[in-house]
Amino acid sequence: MNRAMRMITFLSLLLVFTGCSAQPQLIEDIQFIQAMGYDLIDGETQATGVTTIYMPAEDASPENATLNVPRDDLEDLYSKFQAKSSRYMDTSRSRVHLFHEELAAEEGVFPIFDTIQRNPMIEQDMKVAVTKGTTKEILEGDYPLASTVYRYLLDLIELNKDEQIPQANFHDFLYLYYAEGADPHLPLLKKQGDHVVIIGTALFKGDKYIEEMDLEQAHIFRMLIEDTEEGTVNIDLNEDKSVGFHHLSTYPDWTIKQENDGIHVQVDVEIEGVLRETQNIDVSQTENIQQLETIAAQQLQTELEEIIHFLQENEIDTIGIGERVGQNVRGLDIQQWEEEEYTDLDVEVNVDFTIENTGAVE
Amino acid sequence: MQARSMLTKQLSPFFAFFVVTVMQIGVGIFTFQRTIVSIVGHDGWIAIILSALMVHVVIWILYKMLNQYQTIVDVQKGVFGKGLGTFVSLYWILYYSLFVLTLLIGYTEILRTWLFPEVANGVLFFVLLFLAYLFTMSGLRTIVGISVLAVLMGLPIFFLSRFPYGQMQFRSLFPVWDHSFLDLWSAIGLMTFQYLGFEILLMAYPFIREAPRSHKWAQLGVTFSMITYLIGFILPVLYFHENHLAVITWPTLSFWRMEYFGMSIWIILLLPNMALGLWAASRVAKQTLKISQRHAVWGLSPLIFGCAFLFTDQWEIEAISSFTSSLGFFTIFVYLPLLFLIQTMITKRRRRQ
Repeated sequence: MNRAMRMITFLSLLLVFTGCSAQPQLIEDIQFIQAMGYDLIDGETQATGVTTIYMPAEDASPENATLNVPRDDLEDLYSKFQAKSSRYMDTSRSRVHLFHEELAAEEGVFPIFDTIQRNPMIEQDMKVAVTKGTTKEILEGDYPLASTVYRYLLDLIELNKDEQIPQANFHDFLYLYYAEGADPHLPLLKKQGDHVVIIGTALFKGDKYIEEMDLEQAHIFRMLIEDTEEGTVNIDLNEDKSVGFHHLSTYPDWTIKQENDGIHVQVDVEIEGVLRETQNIDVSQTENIQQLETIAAQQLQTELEEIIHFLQENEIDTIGIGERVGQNVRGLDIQQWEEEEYTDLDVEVNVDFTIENTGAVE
Repeated sequence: MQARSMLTKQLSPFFAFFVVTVMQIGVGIFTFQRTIVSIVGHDGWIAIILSALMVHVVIWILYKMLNQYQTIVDVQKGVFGKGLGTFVSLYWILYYSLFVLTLLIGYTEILRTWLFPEVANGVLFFVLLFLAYLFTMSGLRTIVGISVLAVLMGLPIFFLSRFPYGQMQFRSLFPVWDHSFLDLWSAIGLMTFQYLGFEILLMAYPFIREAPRSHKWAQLGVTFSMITYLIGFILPVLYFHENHLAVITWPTLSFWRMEYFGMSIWIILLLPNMALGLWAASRVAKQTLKISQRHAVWGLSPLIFGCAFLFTDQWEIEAISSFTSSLGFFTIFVYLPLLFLIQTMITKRRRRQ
C-alpha cells in the first residue's frame, strides 16, 4: 500500500469510529437501581426500585429514593422507571430482589428470574428473598444504623447465609429449579418495627412458594444439605436443664444404595460444636459430656427426621434427595420416582455429635 | 516446493503447536457446552475425549499425505490428475473462507450481545475483518507470532477469572455414561467441529522447516485444546444444572463472568484465527488460479464482508454454524481419509509398475 492509500484508510476509519461510538455515559448522570421488589396488591403486580442519590454537598449522607410502578410485563417496567426519572436509569447493578409472598405463591417467581437471566447486562450475582408483607414497605423503610436500604438488605442476607440460613441466592435457586428431583428455597424476610428480620426459609414447589420453615427448622434443615462452619443449636434436656452449642460444623454424607427390595437412602451427619451455655448441668465431668453427646445426637436425629417427614408430607424435595438418587442409580426416571416413591421413602438418619470443648471454663 | 519458500519465510517445527491450538480454540469455546449438554448431558466429557482421539488419527493421516506431497492442492493433483485436481481444489477456497465467515459473525454476535448493543453490525465486521486483513498481508510468520501471543495471553483467563468454589456440585458428573452410544456418537459429531481449524496445515505444511518433525507438535496442540475444552466443559457442568446449561447461549461467558476483560482479550485469539483462514484461502487461490496471493486476499475480504451481512440474527448464525460444522465433519473426517486411501493405493500401484 502506498502512503496515500494508508492515509485514506486511516481517515475513513477515524470517521467510522467517531461516528458510531457508543453513547458516553457519565457516572453522575446514571441512576442505578440497586434493589427491586415485586408485589401483588389487589391482583395487580407492582414493582418497586430503590436507588441511592449521592448529594454533592459535604457531610450530606446519601439519600434513598424509591420508585414505584405498576407493571404489565417486566421489560416494559424499565421504561416506566425511566419515565419517572430525570436521570438515565440503569438496572444492571440491581443486587437485591425481593418477592412478595402472594406473588411468589400465586404467579410464581420464574418469569421474573427468567427476565433477569436473559439480560446479559445484569450482573447475575444477586441476593433474592421472599417477604411477608409487601416489598414496598420494606424498601421504603428507614433503618437506623444503615446507610442505604440496599446495603442493609445485602449485608443482612449475606451474613445470615453464613450463620444460619441455608445458602440460596439467584444461582442456587435456578440450579434447584432446573434440577430434576429437587425443589428450590429462598430466605424469608419480614419487617418488624424498624428492622428487617429473617424469619425462616420459604419452600418452593417448582417456582411457586407453598410452605415455610421457621428459623429453628432452617438451622436443622441446613445440616442436611450443606457443610456448615457456623451456627448454633439449643437442646433442652428437661424443663430447667438445657445446653447451647456454638460454632457448629456439620458435614452431611448421603449414601444411596440400590438393593433388590428398592432404593435405600441413608444420611450420616457429623456435627462438631463448642459448648457455650449450660443451665443446671455440671459439665466438668467427662461422663456428663459423653452423656450430653448421646442425648444431643438423639435429639438432633429426631429433629432431622421430622424435617424430612415435613418435606415429604408437603410433597416437596427441598433437600434434593431425588437428584442424589438419580446421580447414583442408573437409568432412573426421577420424575416418576419423585411422584411414586419419594413421599413414602424411609430415610435413615444417623447423627454423630462431638463436643469439642466447653469454652473458656470447665 | 521446498525451494520456493525460502528459509527466512519458514517456521520452526514447534510452531505447529500454536497454529493448531489457536485454530481449534476459536469462537466455539463460548457455546460448545450447550449443544453437547443438550444431547449427552454430563457425559459430554467422554465425547470431548473421543472426538479428540479422532482428530489425532486424522492429523496422522494428514501428515502421511503431506509428507509425500506438499499441500492439499498437490495431493489432489496427484490423485485426480492435473485438471480435475485443480478444479477440486477450488473447493478449499470456499471452505477456508466459510471458516473465516463463521468466526467473524459468531464473535460479532457475542460482542453485540454483551458489550456493544448499540454499535451496528457493519462497523464490527469491518473493524475485525480489516485487522485480520492487515495480519494476512504481513505474512504467515507474523500471524503465527500473534498466535503464540494469543495462546500465552488468552488462555490463562480461565484461571485468573472468577471461580465459584462453594457452589460447585461435584456429584453432577455421576452416573458416568448414562446415555446411549447413539447419543454419544452425535455429540462426538458436534464436538469435532470445535477441533476444526487444524486443516490449515494442509496449506501451511511447506512453510514449516523440517516439516515431518512438526507432527508431534501438532498432535500435542490437539491434546492441549482437548484439555482446554475439558476444563471449559466440566466446570460449567458442575456449576449449572445440566437442564439449565442446555438453555444458556454462552455458558463460558456466564460461568467465568469474563465479558468485559475476557471478550476483549479474546480478539487476540480470534484475529490470528481469521488471518490464518484468510491466508490459507488465498494460498489455495494462488496455487490453483495462478494469481498473486495479495490479489486473492483483496478479492476474498470484501466477499466475506458482504456475506457477513446475510447472517445477523441468532437463528441465521446458528444455521450457518451448523452448516459449517457438518461440512467440516464430512470434509475432514470422511473426505480426507478417503483421499488418503486412494493416494496410498495409487502410490502402491505405481511402485509395482
